[in-house]
Amino acid sequence: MRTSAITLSHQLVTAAFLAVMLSTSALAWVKYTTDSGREVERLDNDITLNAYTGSFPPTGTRRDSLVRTVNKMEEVPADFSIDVEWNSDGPRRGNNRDEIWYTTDSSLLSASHAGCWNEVRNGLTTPWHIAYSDIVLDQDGSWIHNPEYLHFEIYGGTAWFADAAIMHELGHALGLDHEDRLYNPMGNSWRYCTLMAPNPNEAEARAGEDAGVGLVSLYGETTPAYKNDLSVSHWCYCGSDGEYSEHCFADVAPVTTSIVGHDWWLGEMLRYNVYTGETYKFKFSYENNGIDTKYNIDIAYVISTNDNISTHDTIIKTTSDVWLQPNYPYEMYSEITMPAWLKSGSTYFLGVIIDCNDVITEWKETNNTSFIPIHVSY
Amino acid sequence: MRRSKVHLYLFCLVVVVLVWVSAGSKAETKDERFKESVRQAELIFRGPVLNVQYRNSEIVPALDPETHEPITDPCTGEPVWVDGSDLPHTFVTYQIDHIYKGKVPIGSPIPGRVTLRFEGGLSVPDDPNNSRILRVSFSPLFDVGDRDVLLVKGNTVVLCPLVGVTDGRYRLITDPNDLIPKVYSEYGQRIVFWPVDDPNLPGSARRGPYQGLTTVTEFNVGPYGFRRVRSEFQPPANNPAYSTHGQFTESEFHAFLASYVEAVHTPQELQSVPPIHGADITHPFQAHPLTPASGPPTPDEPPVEMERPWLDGIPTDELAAILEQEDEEARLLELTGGNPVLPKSDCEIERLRFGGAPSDISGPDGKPDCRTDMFDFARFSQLWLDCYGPGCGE
Repeated sequence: MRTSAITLSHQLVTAAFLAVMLSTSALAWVKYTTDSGREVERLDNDITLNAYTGSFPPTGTRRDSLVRTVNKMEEVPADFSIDVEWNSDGPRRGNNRDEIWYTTDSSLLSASHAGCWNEVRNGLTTPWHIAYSDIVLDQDGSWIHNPEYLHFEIYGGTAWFADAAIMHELGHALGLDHEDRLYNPMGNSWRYCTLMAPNPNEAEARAGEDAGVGLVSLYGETTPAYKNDLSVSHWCYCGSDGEYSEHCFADVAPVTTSIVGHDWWLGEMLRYNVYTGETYKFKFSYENNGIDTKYNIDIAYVISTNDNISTHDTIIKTTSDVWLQPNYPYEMYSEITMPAWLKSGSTYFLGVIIDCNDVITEWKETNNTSFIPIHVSY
Repeated sequence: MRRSKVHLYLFCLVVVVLVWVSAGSKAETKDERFKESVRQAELIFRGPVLNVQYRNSEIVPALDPETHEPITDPCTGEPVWVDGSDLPHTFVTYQIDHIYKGKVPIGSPIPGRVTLRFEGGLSVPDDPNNSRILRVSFSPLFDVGDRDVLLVKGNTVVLCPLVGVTDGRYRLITDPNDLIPKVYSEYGQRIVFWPVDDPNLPGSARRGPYQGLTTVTEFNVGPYGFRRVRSEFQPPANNPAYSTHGQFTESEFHAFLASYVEAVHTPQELQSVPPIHGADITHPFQAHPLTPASGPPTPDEPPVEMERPWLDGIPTDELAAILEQEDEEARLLELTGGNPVLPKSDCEIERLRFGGAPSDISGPDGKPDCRTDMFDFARFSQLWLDCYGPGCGE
């Protein structure tokens, strides 16, 4: 439990969580090393990713998606860089070049929709290392390349977020393997995204806390520009599915009532039925994507009339006794009593704002909010 | 296969498996996936690995689409190959002990055996001073002596001929704790029995908790030994229900799978399943290229607005107030660049819009207040005392 408070009257669940945390290793990602302990990585931290212009034409949103995702991967506080070059040469596996393209031969991928081919080599004077990577995506996939989340299948749409798939494959290209034990992009990447401000309809595929720690371990820390970032999401870890983590929509548990009903409102986004005056526990995933541990973090919970969450909304609770260490995502329940002024029959958005007083200087402030839809019952 | 004492790092061809989730329980999806996997399999069998060999795919020159002449790289003058050329592949030969679904494969030089071909592996001929390994994580890694139950489909056609890639392999491993042969996933997760509501099914099989087994974490590719290192992190209290369901022993899984196959197929369906073709390492082969897709992509869909039918019954004035507040919030969010901590005062808004005066560095609250007064002078003086002279603050 990342709190300095002695009394944990409303966070008993997380107290147990803390006990578990203190007794376990902080690192959860999977990688390979030599028997001498040398982490095998790219010999050159600067990667040139050749994007096939046939798959990424100058017009359309595919280029935006790729560049946006590469930029977000570079936000990780690890010392590597990825430069995208648009290349008209036909890509292929085995040509000693980092490449990315879409393929029409999706049926060969064995029901997968994206892949990263890493070739690892050793030499007389060079240790085992990742020589190059090829990332291939399914041309026939139901991709969407703009980040409007209401298009995503998980939010009731029909599309898959291309940024999320590319982010996952870039993780492999940099040396990360699948992870099934916590909320992270190297598991179920479709449900690893944060909704961004100022456009409430936009999602962001991030490398996040766990992958970030893994990449820092491989490549070392980066310059101070990318030292601090906190984020929050309404997707939480809910188990493993083979080698992949499973992520589910945030949970709301009763405190003063016996049960909390919900409906599958938009895709997998649940809308919980609440009563005014009753108290519930709302669960979110909090991440410290930076390098430094942050203490006494201010968190505000608000009631909003839409999915835009900000301090302009009605703040109904604040807390400042949470600390976040950059090791793995922290899932926390917070007890919140529904205000009496909520209108029965209406839907609101129980929002959360991390660093709500803007005390911490972060390289990104737009990923500091999330929400859970609530429906006020009669 | 000789295992090198040196643990060599190798890396992965990794494939994202899209996890389909419909508007419903994920638990139902897992059981449905298992059922669908059994139904899709062309061959389900049990047996030990007899042999693991490697061969590279043939090199296929790329041809100019107009002249049909081989293409050369204009920069290097070297010939250009099509994708899939000279890629390492792994040929895994099994002894078939029992068939749950399908027929005896054809094309095997020795009856009762089948060879499966997986993309990835050691490039041959191998030069120990310049080794090349293509590691494909959706292609499981096999060692001679492994015992498995496999769900096979598309051998020599797809890159990994197991249904659901690694999901299509069930490893039969003797648990070192009690010496009972049990069933595990490719990654060492216990395969547990799971009851289902459908009375026509004997249950389902799901992945349970992870068990660290060296048989799983250590493997060979050619003469080189490797290890997949998993940190000691333990997730807090996940999947507690797994503890109430038992892991399959090998004999239990055998009986379960046999009855499951019969439950999801009619006798006519089982009879009509054609035999699969085994792979033959002695024959050259071409790997299927992952042809780059060209042409303009499908345009993205237009913006979608969230429907809010609960606003329909709100009085007009009240609705107008809500919308006005939302508009103001949106304007302020644009001003802050998405920082959800919005300005509270006119001064803060002014500073965001136009920037602050260089002299306005403090105020009664320690923050700039759009005035230049003694608060700013006091702050300036403090900074002067803290840091002055060349090189200060560097």
